[in-house]
Amino acid sequence: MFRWESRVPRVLAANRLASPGLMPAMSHSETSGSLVAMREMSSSASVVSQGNGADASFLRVTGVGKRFGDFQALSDVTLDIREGEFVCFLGPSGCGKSTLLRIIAGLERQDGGTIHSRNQDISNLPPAQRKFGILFQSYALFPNLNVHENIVYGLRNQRLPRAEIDSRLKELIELIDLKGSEKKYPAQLSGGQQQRVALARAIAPSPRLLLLDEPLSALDAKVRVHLRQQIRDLQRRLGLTTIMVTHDQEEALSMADRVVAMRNGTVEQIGTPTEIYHTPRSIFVAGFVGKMNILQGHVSANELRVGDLAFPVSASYATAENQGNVLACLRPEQVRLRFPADGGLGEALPGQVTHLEFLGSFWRVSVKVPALGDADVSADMSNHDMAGSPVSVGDPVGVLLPRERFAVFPASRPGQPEAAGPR
Amino acid sequence: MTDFAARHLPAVRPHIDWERYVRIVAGAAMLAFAALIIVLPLYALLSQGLQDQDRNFVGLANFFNYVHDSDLRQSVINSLGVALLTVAIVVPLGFLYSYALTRSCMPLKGLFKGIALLPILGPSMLPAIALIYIFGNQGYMKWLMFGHPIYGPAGIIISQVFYCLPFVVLIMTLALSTADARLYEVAEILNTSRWRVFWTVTFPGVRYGLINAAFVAFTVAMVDFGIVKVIGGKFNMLAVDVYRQIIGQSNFQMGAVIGVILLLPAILTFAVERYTSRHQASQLTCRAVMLQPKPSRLFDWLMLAVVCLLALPILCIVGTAIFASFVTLWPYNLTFSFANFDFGAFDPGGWSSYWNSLEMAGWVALFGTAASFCGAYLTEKHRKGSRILLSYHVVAMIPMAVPGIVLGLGYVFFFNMPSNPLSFLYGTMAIMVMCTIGHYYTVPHVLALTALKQIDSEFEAASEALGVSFWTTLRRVTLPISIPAIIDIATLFFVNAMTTVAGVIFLYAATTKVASIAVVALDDTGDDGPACAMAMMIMFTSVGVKILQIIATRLLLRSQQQWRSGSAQERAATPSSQVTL
Repeated sequence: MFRWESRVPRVLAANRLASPGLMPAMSHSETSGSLVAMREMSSSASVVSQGNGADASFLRVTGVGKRFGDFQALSDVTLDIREGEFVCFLGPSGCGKSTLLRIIAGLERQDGGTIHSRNQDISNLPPAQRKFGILFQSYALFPNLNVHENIVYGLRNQRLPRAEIDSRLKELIELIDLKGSEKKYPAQLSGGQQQRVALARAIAPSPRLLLLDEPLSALDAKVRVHLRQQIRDLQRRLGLTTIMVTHDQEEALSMADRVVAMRNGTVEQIGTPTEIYHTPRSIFVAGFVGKMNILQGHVSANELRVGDLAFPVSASYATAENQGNVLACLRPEQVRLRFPADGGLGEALPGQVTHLEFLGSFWRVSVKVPALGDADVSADMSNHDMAGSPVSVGDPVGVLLPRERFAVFPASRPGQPEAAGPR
Repeated sequence: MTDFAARHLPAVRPHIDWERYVRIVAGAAMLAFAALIIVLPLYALLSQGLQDQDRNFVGLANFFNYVHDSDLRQSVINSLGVALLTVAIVVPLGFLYSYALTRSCMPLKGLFKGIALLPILGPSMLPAIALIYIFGNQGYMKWLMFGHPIYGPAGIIISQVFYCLPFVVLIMTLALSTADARLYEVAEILNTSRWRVFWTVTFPGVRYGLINAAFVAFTVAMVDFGIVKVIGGKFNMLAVDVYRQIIGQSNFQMGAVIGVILLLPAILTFAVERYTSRHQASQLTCRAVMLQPKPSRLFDWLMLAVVCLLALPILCIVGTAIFASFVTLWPYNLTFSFANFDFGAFDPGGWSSYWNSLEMAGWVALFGTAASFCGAYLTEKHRKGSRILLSYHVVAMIPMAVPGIVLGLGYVFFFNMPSNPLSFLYGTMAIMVMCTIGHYYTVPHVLALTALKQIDSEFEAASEALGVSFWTTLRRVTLPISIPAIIDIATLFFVNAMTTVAGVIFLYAATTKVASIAVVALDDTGDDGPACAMAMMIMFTSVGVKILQIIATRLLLRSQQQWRSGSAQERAATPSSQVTL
């Protein structure tokens, strides 16, 4: 059997940095180079016969469905995950994202559909044979075993020599920055530390794929942001293909290479964080990720009318179904404000401030705009601008809308958020 | 640059999933075991009730014969009356006792709780024997009976109240201690009188506990055998009728019919318990604040007085039994002696019945704990999608609704069947061990389930993902965490096995006679003193084991406090309930 310790050069020790977690990500060419080398080694060891197609996706989920009694948890989910990628499953609770993760892990059995890893059908393999690492929301650290014993828990099974286990443990402990805590029990560690131990335990047996099930949701906000970076750096450094489930859009956008937005057991959109944020493919994604101004409009002849105004429909939303009544969406940060004190409103639409919300690094200003059918439009305003021209509720302001930034969706779909109507 | 994690990507190579087969085989083995000790004997009993003496199917004919027998009809009325009266007395008393233990700041709560639990540590015959010493023909407080005999309903009911009190106190303290303090604070802020608070907050909160306690007490009183045997006199009750039909008249069919009738109240209790447990659980949300009683001088002293008043008869009964067992010959020669403990002089079994009891209790504790924990482990952690384990769970819940004497009867029928290849077990220690395990199976099963539920359900998934077999995780993680619960279960099995009569009365042979049977036999031959001494031996042993359990659990928890933090495991460690039928 091919084992890493005998053939793979151990470079981690040489690359050890003073501050773990802050290592620059390796470049893409390095990644693919070493992976090609790996594949050659693998095939020379004549272990992998099917898995050497260079264009094959690392993990392919095809038409997976799952039903719990009357509840359709997943229906016809299809997606591809590439080698070395960090993918987030994002969606509200109950959207099926955790179920999908557990099906990929083999902890749940799908009712239909297949899962392939490098063209090999793994749909019916038990979890242990898939060789995936999982990090659970509850950590699932064994309370009666100390940090050391927890981390090597999965290693003892591989019949590695003792020295090998010890040196691997040492690397992992340094990787998660918990040197000196080997003899502590989980109960004696903080939540963030426990999660890092769980992470080390998950990656110790060198999994082919790392699955993270809402790993950060049980932690304090501050620890969460810190651990977010640590996990991402570690993932890049190890080149470890990773899937993370989260309901926190900020987490998904900041960590993922690609985001799989899910709702009611179906995939709504797969794309990079910027695609998801700037060009959402459904009103659900638009509303779930970030704040969105949703206005009622009408499209005819490639022209979007909102209130008294007309805008061109951007190419990505000029589809056949976007005709007639539509919802036109715009991010608050895309809306600019003009103040009478700046020397007139110019071409800006006149409006009146109805609500102010201080959000720390910026202000969110709600403006009622008569030209948009009295709709309330939210606009973000920096602290700097606020200091320059303070506004308060009731003040007249001008609103500037970008010409082609509207995301447009058909108006008549059930279950979508309500558009901001006239008040 | 490379690193160790993603460097090699070992190929996925499907191989045999041993864990799956082990899981199926283990589940099937547990189901077979549970079926053997619980379902098959009951089936044998039921089918016997529908057959005539020559094993021809006669439908409900036996039941019609039963209804036509006026003596037996009277037994039903007697049993119902005694059970109802017992409930009417023991539930209010138990409630009061529990209320004082949970809602006041009276001193010595631990001691008084221990006193209330004393009765279940001895055989049920103990209070009956002691009552004869107190109120019997030569009793020292005979005058209190105003010429009425203690033999008969009066003695039965007093003994039943004594014997049922621990069950009520256990259920009620549990119900009363899970109260939401916020409700009481709101009531106080709204300036509500104490009386009204009791009826609007306290009582609704423990309503289901009360119903539960009432039904458990009803069933215990209805199906108990030992008490009626000793103090019943000519007063017939169902449990003794079974015994008379089987042992006295060898009328197996009629015995089976009475057994089936005895199943009814127990099945009712079982249904009520299922129903109320669902409601009790929803009483307390996770955000509730536990009620801590506040000191109040007057109320606390009042409650202490109440508890003392109630504890006095218990101590009196136990004290009398202890005293009677250590005197030479009550009431003629009250000098201290061990004469009563020279069992060989009164009963051919002698001390061997006591050693048999210890042996049986040991085996029951060993195999019962192993089986119930294994079964509960499989049920809790590997049930998903397994019909086998679901059936096992259902079977494991059945004994709750089966009185010991009924199960014992089922064993007689099942293992006496000439076609049964296991009939060689008849008359051995093994069959008694099996019957006792089966009789007390439900509570340990539920205790183990509860303890296992508190262990993160992702452990199995985590170890599976790490490529570690589930039995390794069971050995290295789940078992060590569950040791307090396991000790708890073993103690429960041991104590129950020491005290049980009903389950084994049909099954013992001369060489396997146990202490509790010896008590009945000694009492039958008029050797009250030795009977009392033997009953006390059982009680001393049970109390000793109970104390041993408490010490062992304390020591264990202290040595593991490094990793045992939080209250979840602590709760698993405390003996939660010993409610059995």
